[in-house]
Amino acid sequence: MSLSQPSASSPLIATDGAAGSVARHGLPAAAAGVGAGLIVVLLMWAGSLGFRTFDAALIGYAVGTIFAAAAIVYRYTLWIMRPPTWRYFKAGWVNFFSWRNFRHYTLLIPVAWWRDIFAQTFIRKRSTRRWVMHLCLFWGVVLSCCITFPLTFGWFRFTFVPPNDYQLWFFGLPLLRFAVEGLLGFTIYHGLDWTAALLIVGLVLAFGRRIQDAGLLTLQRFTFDLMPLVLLFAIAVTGLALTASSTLWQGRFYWFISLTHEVVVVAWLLALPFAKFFHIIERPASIGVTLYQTVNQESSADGESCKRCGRELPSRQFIDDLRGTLTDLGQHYDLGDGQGWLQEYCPTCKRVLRGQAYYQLMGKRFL
Amino acid sequence: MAIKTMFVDPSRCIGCRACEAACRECDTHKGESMIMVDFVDRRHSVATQPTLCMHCEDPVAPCAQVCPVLAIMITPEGVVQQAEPSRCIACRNCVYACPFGVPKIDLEARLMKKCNLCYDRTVQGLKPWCAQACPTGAIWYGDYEEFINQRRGHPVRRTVFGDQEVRTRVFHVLPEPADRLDVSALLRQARQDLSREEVREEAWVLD
Repeated sequence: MSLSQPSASSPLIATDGAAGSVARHGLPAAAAGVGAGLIVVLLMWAGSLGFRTFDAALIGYAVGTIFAAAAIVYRYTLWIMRPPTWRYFKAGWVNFFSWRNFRHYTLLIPVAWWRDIFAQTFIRKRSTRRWVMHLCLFWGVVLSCCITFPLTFGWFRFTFVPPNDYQLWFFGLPLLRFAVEGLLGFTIYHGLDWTAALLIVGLVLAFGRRIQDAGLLTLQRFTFDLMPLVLLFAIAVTGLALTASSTLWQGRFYWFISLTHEVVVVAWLLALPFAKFFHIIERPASIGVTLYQTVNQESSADGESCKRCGRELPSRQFIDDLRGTLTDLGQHYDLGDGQGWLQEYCPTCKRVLRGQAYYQLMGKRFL
Repeated sequence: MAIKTMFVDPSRCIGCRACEAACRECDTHKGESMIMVDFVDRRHSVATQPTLCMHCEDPVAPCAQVCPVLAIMITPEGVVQQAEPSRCIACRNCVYACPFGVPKIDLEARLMKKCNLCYDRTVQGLKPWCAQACPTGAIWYGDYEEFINQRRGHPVRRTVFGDQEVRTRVFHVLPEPADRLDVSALLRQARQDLSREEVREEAWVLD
């Protein structure tokens, strides 16, 4: 199945106000992408002390990361320039930098980060199995990135300290000294093996769900949903195989496995902005939205209510912003005669209003 | 090949809620109904109206257009899907932007759900659950020509809210030839009628 998003690239949306998004924002987005790539190069240069501690064997990963960073920032810039996203983006940061909000909602943002990003408790509401699956995938990916990127960029390096210690350096600064043969050392050398194991647990649960769930079997798309998971699985398996090759197979197949590992890692990184894993970049938006909604709801003196039934609506600011977004998109749902905009009614009343109109048309005669 | 879609005729709805029960069987939103049956004038009438996603074509899916995280996607057939679970941040933009009051939100689970025209069934040539279960044909699935040959009524797919016209993939069935369902004009008429006298429902039986 193929799906299209109503984004600037979709022909389905050729008539709406966001249609020219790529045309309008393409150049600034491309410039931001190039800028991001250059910043990564600069950070690599600084972190590796002018490329002196840079590991040339990792050049493929480094180049892949530079291109991936550029592509992610390009996609991210186009994304936040869309009318609804830009409105939340702006309002979220304005709320964040408000001293008043900081005093009132000091704990709100850390709690939101915990709930939405680190512990992802909202996924537990969807299903406990999905929650466990997602935690394994999330922490597997995040910890792997935390280990891989600094190593690739030359930010981490190890030096031998006689008689039997290793010194870990970060950005040229001494970070940690540990025994070569100790438990801590063993844990550090195999850091990517632990994260690969975590990923495999999550991926087995994810594939199990995708094979068994009748709804998902119809709705999932190979390139969007499955390919990133397949690539992640290939990364985890080839990563473990590298350890197996060096510790169990006397280095056999090492060259082939390391090349395959590099290819799948770079493919996954380059696919990141265009498939399911772009949600890693998007998801922190929920923190801004939580702040926006809490601040606006609690700052409205009387709250905002449905024009027909009086049921509480999110907030006046929310309704006004939504109307603004719809206007930006060339849509105006003003009912006229002082009845207000359709967006000032709760969903039930919108349905009932249409029902009443139909009822009127029928001469109030139903079956 | 003719495009199959839904035809909604609220005048035939008897409020049995078989559609809601059947909708809960859908594999893509298990146990939860995405179709809503509402009383249209509870004080004076037992008249009810079923609402399912109208799958807006022009403007294309306002719910998807206002989604800040691009979570709502559209199939090449024009079926507007429910939010992609990995992206939805439960901002509620779609819920309040939808002119038909369709999307449901689960704030705890950070997820919007809506009718996706039983995509798992319709891609196999089966009817959506609600159309399968509706005993009176208030919700009917087929193509336009089939409808014209088999059914009474005049299907329209343009709904007007004030200055905004919305063309949908799903049809409303009107009692007389018309090119659109003008909600604002009809509500104005209803308000004028009410100001003149209390209008009672007349008993009416389809022949």
